[in-house]
Amino acid sequence: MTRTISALHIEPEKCTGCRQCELACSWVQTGTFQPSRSLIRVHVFDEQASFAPYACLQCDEAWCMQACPVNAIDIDENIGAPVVIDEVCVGCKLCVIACPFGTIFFDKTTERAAKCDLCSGDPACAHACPTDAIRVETTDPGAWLEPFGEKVDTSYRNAITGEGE
Amino acid sequence: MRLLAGLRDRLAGGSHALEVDASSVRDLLTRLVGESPDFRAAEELVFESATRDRAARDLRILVNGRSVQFLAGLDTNLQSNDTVTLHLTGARGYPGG
Amino acid sequence: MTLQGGFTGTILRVDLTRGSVEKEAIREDWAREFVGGRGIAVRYLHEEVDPQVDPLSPDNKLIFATGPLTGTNASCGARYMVITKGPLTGAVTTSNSGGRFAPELKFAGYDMILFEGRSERPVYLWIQDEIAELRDASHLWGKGVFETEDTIRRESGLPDCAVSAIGPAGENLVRYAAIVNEKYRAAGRSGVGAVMGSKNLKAIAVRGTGAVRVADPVATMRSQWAMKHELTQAPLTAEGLPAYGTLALMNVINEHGALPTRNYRDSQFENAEDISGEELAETRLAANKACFACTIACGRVSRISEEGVGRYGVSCSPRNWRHATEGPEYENAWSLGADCGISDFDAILKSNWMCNDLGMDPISLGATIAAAMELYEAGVIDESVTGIPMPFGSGEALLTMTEKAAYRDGFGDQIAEGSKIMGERLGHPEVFMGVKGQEFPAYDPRALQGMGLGYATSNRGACHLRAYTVAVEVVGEPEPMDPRAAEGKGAVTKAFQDTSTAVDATGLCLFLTFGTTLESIHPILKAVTGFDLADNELLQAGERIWNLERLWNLRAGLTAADDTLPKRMLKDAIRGGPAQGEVSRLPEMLPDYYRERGWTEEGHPTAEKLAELGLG
Repeated sequence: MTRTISALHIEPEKCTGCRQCELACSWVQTGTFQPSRSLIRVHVFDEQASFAPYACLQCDEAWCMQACPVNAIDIDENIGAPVVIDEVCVGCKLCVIACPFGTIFFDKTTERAAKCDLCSGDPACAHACPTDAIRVETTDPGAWLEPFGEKVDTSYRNAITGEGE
Repeated sequence: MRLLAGLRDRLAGGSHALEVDASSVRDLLTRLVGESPDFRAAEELVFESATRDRAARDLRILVNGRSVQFLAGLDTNLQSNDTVTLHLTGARGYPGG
Repeated sequence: MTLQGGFTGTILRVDLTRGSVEKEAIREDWAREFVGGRGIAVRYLHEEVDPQVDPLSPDNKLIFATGPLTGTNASCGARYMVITKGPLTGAVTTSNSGGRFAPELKFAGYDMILFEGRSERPVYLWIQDEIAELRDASHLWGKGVFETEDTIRRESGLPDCAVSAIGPAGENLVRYAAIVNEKYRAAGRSGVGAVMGSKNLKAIAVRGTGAVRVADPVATMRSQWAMKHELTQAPLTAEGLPAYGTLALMNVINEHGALPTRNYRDSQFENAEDISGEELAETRLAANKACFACTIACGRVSRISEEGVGRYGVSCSPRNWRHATEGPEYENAWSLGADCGISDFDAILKSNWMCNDLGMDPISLGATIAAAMELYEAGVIDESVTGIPMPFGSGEALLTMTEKAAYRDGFGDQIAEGSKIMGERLGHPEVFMGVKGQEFPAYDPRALQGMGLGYATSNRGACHLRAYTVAVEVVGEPEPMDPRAAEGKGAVTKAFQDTSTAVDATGLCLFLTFGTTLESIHPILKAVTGFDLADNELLQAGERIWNLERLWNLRAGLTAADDTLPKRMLKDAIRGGPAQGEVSRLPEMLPDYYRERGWTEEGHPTAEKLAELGLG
């Protein structure tokens, strides 16, 4: 059975590295500007002139969810994404270790795990982005991944055949 | 006439300079719009409204390096070999300016 | 009164002689009167530094100041200002930079850092939230900005830290050495880097994980959205700057006949198109890059062309030629390009890159090389002095001298002094094109009269950022003013100076004024700080700061005689192009300006003016 998922659709080519998304994310959580607690992070690759915001991919069978010993991470059907249930989380960090993408964090202030919950469906980072590099998309996982997969596949083929140089 | 920046693509198919026969700045802009493949878009870019009585607010027109704002505006007469420069601009600038 | 938001409330005082780092509370009364950034730091300078001090002595102080809006999500809240007495000008120096360093300092919990004294050995300041300590920098001394930054990131184990550093130029006390953060963002002008070098301070590295709080969250969000929306509606901030960066100006200013060429001997450059924003966008632009929180993104990431990579031999060859470099800005492309008669864009990009790594101001460097080229062509100096042929247009000469200046090697030792001192030493002071020891930027003051008045009266020496009358004289916003006219330029110059100063004090970027006004910044400042600001209070703070800088300069020994332009601008008419025949009409404009300022004929603020501003 497939279900629809919601996730942030990020286009790094459009990103200018301004970090308005980090400011917006920290604002939503803390009411202050504190990028160190943002759940979306912008990576800057200076020599490639490339900026890449990344946040939780909202995996269907999420590693963090599987790893949690107290079932504090569960899919919220309204949002369509896994979320941390603060009251249940004991702050053991197993989810942080389990996540292969590094997109679930241990928040030192709350002593709980913290991950992107898409602002309950209306992400502040997407609103804050001045170049529309971040959008929220609700779709079935296949449709979401297909164009991305094709792009990666094309660059892979070009790399080994030397095309598109 | 010389075109700068975005106007090159939007008015002259990418070229930097054009030769145009015209007797005044208004005449020149009218011809420019008339010869443009998408004349509606060109008109919007160049004139404030379809009545064509004023240049667009963010268009700057220089005749031999002098803004027509300090000459006779769109009625500035042109001689042969005059250089007309068009560029877009825009800044709400400072208070008290 | 306690500070409610925007400010962290804490400053760091670093005594380099004793090696101590102390935390102290910021003067809240000054924060209210002078806002932050350039404003409050000038107030500290006024209080603590003797204006007569030798700029490179331990008695001079070096202040890094953020503003209350730095680190917030107000667009362009990325700036810090470096304030000191400058070795190029002997005047108050206020040099501004963006990037990520300033917000990081705020997140670590500090509004400002104040350096005093001089360290015996090279050190750098390490800040990680509440930890602030001096660390040995012997292994970094002599290194370029890039390697310094990479080394500190690596050895600190915190790759997210932001680093602001000097390069060899600062260490060798080049009079226009810069302080550079994130490799490409610079507090560029007036030699702030030389002051840092004189103190044996190599770098500041900071990682902050804390928060910047605001007084009124709802009003903050509402007002900053309103300003961002304005920026998307104004052609320059929505389209012009993102598409072409400041380099959009190259062709525009050239068309107006106001592009200084070959050390201001000509006012139009025949090859301007080759070094324009249009050319960059077509051939070399890799991406736009924004400073922290900036929604404009005027920063250019460029690539040197394949063919241009190996064209000139320089020994400090950057390892990433083939990849990306940043810039150039319009001013740099002009000084390293048109002013030297150079149309080789790759040479300009390389020199600009080297300026970032060596830590130098490309405007003063390019202008000084241009002055040397003039002397070379006039036969005053020859190869036996310079070591290489230095005709106008030589990319080889530009790149060789860029490197030699930073190390004060051979003739580079003269270039490193700036064109005023170099010209005097070579018996030709008339080749200096600037004011108060600082070289002009990229607008001919004979073709744009307002810029001439702005240059002459700028507190930090010739500068385009203090009164950008190009807005009214070229862009024509908010109302067009005839660039050839002298009338009304006093009032507009004063208004622009006060406005720019106010923006500088908030911690925002001056480029906002291309798309918005002080009226839109005012409510953001109010919401963030909780200050109960009257309508024109921010603008008045700008005027207050400007007058305090002026008072400090007067006490440093500057007089109205320093509010002038070189003879070439006042007597020699432009030789060709649209503005042919024009000279600067400064003698008409200056008295008008003093009147508008409420100053005496000798350029002193009157007692009434000082009382009005609370400076009496």
